[in-house]
Amino acid sequence: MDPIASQYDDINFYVVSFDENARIVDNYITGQGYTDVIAVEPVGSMLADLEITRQTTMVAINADGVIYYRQLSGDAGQWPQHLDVLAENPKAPPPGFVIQQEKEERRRDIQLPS
Amino acid sequence: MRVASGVVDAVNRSQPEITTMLRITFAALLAAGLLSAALACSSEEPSPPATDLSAPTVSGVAQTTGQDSAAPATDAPAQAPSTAVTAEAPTTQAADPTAPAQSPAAPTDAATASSPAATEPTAAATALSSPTSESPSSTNTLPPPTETTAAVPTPTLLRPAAPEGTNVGETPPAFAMNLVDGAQVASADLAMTGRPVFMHYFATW
Repeated sequence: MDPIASQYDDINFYVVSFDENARIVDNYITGQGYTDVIAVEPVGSMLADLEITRQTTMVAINADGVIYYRQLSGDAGQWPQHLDVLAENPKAPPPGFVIQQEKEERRRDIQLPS
Repeated sequence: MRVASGVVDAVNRSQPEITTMLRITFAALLAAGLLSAALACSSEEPSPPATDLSAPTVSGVAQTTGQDSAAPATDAPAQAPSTAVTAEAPTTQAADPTAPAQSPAAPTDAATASSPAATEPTAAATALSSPTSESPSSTNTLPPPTETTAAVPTPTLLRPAAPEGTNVGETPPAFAMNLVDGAQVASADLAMTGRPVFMHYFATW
């Protein structure tokens, strides 16, 4: 992850410990030579609130605070290309959100003449 | 021959007066026609705008007729107010069925129209002063539509707020994380940075 994180200076990378202390994770990533990621541990019911049930889950949130990408373990690793989009446009809406927005705009355009 | 020449001279002398009278009458008829047409057009609107429209047209036609009659003859400036008043009389009569609010003022204008020329300038003065007093109200009625059209910020409404949830396209619920040094990072703090956040939930085992 760190080699990829080093390519995106405008994105904050956090390694959230799934069920361990943040220091354990920090020791691990430091041992791996990762410097562009920050080890943290969840507070309270963060994992339950975000419905994180498995480790190696990846969640990307754009600058508007909207979940842009969510990858579960076992899924194909598509996250680097999504990072390219967020690096280009930090407020880029997720693809599904764009479709919904276009649909609402079309509905409003249809409703406007009446 | 002397009689014929005298008649010709009398006709020649009276021609300017006849022409001025004819011009005045034509001007009055034209003014009445224009005012009736204007009132017919404004009959669909409510009564206050009808008064606003009728008064300026009276003054405008009266001024134009006064200028037209003043151009050819030198006696016309003294007769120009009479054309303005004669133009007012049909307008008030035509305005009576459309705007009942004007009915109390109509007899006074008609009375001044039938009165001698000494009272006519006062009616013309009221006709000229009425649009100036009513023009601010008409201008006050116009700006609100422009303000309403300009005050509708539709582009901001086109982007709906993302609902709270954990799926893509939703706003995650508030959360907090502890750093190794014990400092806490909240989701609000992350939003303040204005940068995207990538979180990898990880375990060493």
